[in-house]
Amino acid sequence: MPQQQLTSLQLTGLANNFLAISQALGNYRYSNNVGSQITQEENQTLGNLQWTLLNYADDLYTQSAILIMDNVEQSLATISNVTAQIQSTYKTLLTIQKAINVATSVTTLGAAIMSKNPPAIASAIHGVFDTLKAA
Amino acid sequence: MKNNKDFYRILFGLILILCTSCANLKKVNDFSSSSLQSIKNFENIDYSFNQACNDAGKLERIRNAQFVLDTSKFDCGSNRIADSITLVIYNSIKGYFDGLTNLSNNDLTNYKLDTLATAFIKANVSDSSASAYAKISNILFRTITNEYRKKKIQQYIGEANDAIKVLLNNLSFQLNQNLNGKLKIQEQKLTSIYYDLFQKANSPYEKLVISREYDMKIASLKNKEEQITSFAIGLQKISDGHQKLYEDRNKLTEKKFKDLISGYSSSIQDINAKFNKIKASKQ
Repeated sequence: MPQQQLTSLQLTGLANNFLAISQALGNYRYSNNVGSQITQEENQTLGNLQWTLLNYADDLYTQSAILIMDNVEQSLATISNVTAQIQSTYKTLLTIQKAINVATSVTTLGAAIMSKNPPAIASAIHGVFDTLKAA
Repeated sequence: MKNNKDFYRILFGLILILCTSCANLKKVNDFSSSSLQSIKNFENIDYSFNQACNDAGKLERIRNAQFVLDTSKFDCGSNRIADSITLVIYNSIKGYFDGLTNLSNNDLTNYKLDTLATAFIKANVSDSSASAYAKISNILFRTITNEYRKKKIQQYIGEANDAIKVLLNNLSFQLNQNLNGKLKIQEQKLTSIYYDLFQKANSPYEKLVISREYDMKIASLKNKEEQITSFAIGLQKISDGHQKLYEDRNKLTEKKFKDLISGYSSSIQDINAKFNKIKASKQ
């Protein structure tokens, strides 16, 4: 039978259980006075047990946080693809303004040439260059 | 005269279409921008897996009465991997909502045609005609591009819905369960350490100092937990809102849709405000 790996959800569930047990251990320790109800040695043992359980829980949370990658791998690829499409559409719509700017500068140049006014032609040529540079 | 009437009728029709598309895209924009703002709160959370590991190391040192931690027995490598996975999920969600916000922004298709009108005037087209051309072109441009945007947004929301919900839910789980779980571990460890210190204290004053320090440390941990929980609730709301957006994506013109999405946007804004309040209460 093939070995099945625990899922992220299962690992977190286990960690939560370990956390609850260690909490119960701690509560027992804090509600029983050392020296009268429990011995110093018992107190130490309970403290050590609680600490060990907490370290297990800590490790399980970390492993779950890494294993979450299995849950999201496919979705990351899908969102990356959709986001790229959105950006491409966005850029296309931005380009329209650039096209308008180029058309404007070329029309201005045309008008300047028709007017046969050399300074206006020079300025319009400059304008076309500027627009193309920005586009 | 008849031509003029027809012209105004068409213009009126175009303006109507334009108003409807703008208003509905605005609702999508409101939702995506408030979602984006809420998501970006991730960067304001005062905690990470690596930090949790470093803090655990400090507690280990105190417990074992070591001045320097024995790093050979204490490695935070796995926690750093957990942080980078969390960051990848976060960046992916942020990138999507950033794109959606930009694309649904009505300013995007608010093209500037005034300069073109001026150019026409210079090209000997009469002032009034040039200005009229510019206005009509503007309306036409916006109507066409808004319809195009609406169609594209509907398509993208449809394609992204399942995946974005998976990412939002997993980011919420990662933080609210795994990272908050680590904070709860720290709380228990601190309680254990301070309990022993309290037991060994020689005077009431020492006990008072220990109690005060313990309360302060626990309050700081609780604040972090609250920040994370509030952020995770926001993610859940965004996921629900996106689902509604997906279900009603073909009704982008209906009033019901607008009201519904407005509701999600304001809920997300409320959660956002709550997050900032929790964070501010720490300072």
